[in-house]
Amino acid sequence: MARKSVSARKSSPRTVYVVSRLGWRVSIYGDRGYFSRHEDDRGVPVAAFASRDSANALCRVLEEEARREVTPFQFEDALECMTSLDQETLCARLADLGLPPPSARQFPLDGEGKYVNWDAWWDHVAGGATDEQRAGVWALLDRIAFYEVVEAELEPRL
Amino acid sequence: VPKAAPHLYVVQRLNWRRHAHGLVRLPGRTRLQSFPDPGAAQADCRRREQEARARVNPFTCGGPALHHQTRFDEGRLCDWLLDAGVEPPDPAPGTGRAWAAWWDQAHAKWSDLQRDKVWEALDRVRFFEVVQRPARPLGYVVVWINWAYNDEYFVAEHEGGAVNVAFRNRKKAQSYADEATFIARQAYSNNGVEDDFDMTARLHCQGDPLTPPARGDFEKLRPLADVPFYEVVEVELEE
Repeated sequence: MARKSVSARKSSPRTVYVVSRLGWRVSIYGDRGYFSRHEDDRGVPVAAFASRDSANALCRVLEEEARREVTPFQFEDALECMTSLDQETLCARLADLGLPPPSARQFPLDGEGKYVNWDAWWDHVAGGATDEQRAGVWALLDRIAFYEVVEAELEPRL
Repeated sequence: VPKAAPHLYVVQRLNWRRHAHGLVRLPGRTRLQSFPDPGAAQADCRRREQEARARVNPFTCGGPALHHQTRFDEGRLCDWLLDAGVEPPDPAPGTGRAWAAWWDQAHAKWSDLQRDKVWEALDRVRFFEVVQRPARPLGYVVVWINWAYNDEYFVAEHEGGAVNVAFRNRKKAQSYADEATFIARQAYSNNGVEDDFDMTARLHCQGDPLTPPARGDFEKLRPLADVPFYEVVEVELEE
């Protein structure tokens, strides 16, 4: 009986759960490199699992690793693409983390001084930030993800 | 007692991406070579790192502020350099120290030992690593490449694609990708699209980011018959 079920499993289509690293396009602003995502781009598969839980677990590990290794505020240019928080709330949360929040006058993105140049601010504070503060900043950037899990059929009939 | 799964020692390149003024780091790694022996893997990694260091100005990596390159603040970095017998750059009024220009002008004059000491301080600029991994079976994921139209021509997404299907066998995966590409080309051809495809950025992403592209290393638009719409990506498959 067990032998039969193994045979049936091998011959029928199965789903695997693929962990993919999302793709970013590099662009230049001034002399700095930035990353943005095209809405229809996906990314590079890195591993596949029979179990969704295993795929989700690796996805979480890789996401945490990425946030330790790469610089926030180099991804996307508009604040609304980085976080669901408005500028005022984001500044308040940064102060809660013990980081001096920026003002648009001190770190202006434009001539009007209306918007903050976030990566200039991060360059100003990052040298003194702790690992916990860095992780806290990433947690506020809730619209940026680096990995995803997608389903794929394994061994489809050709 | 069950036999432990054999392990491999994999040399990986960290995911730096080149732009006009330097390199920036993305998440992820590219696996380059596997070794059964950790010593051989470490030796290969050191060789690659040394070759990269000969080609790259570390102060153009990440961004203009020092935190991109080192955990040291500027004072401690200057002390470290002086201890190594290397004179740090003088700060310019209003703009501070021009580290990248200083590297360009000074690094050729240092001894190998001094250069190694400088790189040791720049601990956030590393290009390769060795990881220990259990030997696992491989799978082959077929991805669909997004060709985005920019009102003049189609541009391939820079890397990877949308996950489509997966196989245990590379030959089967490639056969599937080839057939799917053939069908996609027919669909474009039926719409009168024949020679408007740009793969420049995608090809650069597939190459070595630590080697600057040759001047004029941008290709012309490719014809439909020369571009893929599906590709095969090798992954570890855990069943």
